[in-house]
Amino acid sequence: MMKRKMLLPLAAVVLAAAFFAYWFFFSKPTAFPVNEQAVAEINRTFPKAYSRTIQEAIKLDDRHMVLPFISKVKNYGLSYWVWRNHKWNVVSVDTNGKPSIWKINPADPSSYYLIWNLKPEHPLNSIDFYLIGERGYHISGGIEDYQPRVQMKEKISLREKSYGAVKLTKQWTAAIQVLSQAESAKNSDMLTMDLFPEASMFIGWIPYDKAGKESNVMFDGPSYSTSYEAIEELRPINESDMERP
Amino acid sequence: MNFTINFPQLNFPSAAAALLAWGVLIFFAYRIYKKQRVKPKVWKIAAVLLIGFSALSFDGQIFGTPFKLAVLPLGVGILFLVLNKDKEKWQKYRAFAWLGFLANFIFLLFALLAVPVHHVLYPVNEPSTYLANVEDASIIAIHPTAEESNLHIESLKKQLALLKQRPIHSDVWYYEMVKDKEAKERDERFPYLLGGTSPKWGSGMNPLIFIEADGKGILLSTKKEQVYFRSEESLLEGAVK
Repeated sequence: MMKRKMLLPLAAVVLAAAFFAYWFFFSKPTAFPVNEQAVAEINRTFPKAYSRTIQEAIKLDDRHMVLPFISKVKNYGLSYWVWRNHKWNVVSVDTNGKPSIWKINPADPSSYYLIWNLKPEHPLNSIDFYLIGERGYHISGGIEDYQPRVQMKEKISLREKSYGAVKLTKQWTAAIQVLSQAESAKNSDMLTMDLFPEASMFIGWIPYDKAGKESNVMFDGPSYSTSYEAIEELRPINESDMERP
Repeated sequence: MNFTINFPQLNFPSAAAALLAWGVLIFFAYRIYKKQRVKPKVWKIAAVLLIGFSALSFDGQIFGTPFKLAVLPLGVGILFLVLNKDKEKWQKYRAFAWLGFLANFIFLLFALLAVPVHHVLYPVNEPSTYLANVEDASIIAIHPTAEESNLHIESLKKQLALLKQRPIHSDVWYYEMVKDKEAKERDERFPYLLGGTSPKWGSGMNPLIFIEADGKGILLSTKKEQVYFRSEESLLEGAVK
């Protein structure tokens, strides 16, 4: 008899816990905080940001947003937001707006975004993003290995907006998928790990000014990042190193 | 840049060898168990086997296959120190501890046996080993010198049986592209990547496949080595009459 009496409250507690867990971890994101709230949240997470104006709230997917902002000292920065634990969290702030890649789901290149916020007064016209893999060869013990050069380009215009976030193109996604698949097969077997030199792939960028000339952009300003999001700065590269530009 | 994707490919000979090795191990464990008068608990046997397995080993390589050879029975030593306080207890588990150490060699033996089996089932110089299914194949231009072109799947299928293996001259290819040329003048010998193909079932291979600029060469890069094939006709659309 005693046991039966206990059953109902116990069930109620378990149910309540389940509801809470669902609400806390899985519920749909609420509306995004209005601009003043977002500014306050950026500055609370990273006081050195001195954020003042939000330029736009760019929604990447249901749970990921990027908010380019302008600071008190006229820096153009980027704030990265994730819906987690029933709240919009600022996971990274970058006060200089350097082009970066955000691998929302690192296992899936189609979830990767290129993100930038450059100073509009700096007379830039476009950015060329490059997916690069170095050419190389390797001979040892009569076994030869040739690594072809990978060089894929994606041009982004800055004429309308000096900030933005774009998904990787289908071609890039496909290339990364194929290249990294073979790479992971190499590394899956711990024993054979150092048989091959690792394919060195990266994404670089070249800014161009109104005259179509390669430009130099200087960056300064602090940045803040939590460790668990895969956000990486892109490498500045030179046109002179590009093949058949 | 670190792209992490994992598509595990089943290596059939390796998986089968590992299963067989487990079978042998369990068989021996059962034999010892049956002979014993005082029966230890099964989970304790498993624990002793597992600890007995740990050993100092050194790395070696035969025929391009790396392996680990266990030398010092570390786990057995630890078990001896812990269990020997009670002589009877040590008697009960000693055989299992040593079997755990022996398991290193059982696994190694079967792993080595899997190598020639793999060679027979999946010959290195057969295109069909790498390109068993090309129905959904497509090419991706990975270099600016690649022309806008599509893969001619029918032509690829037809050429598969006719492909001839050719030697790789990696250094020659490399310097051909680079020597006395500024970056902006450089071409790429293999400006296309082939995707959407699958290797022979159970080969565990996940080759990187590059197509030559003239559409007649296929460079396959597996985790062990590269293989290079040439065809008579181009595999690219437009070039095929």
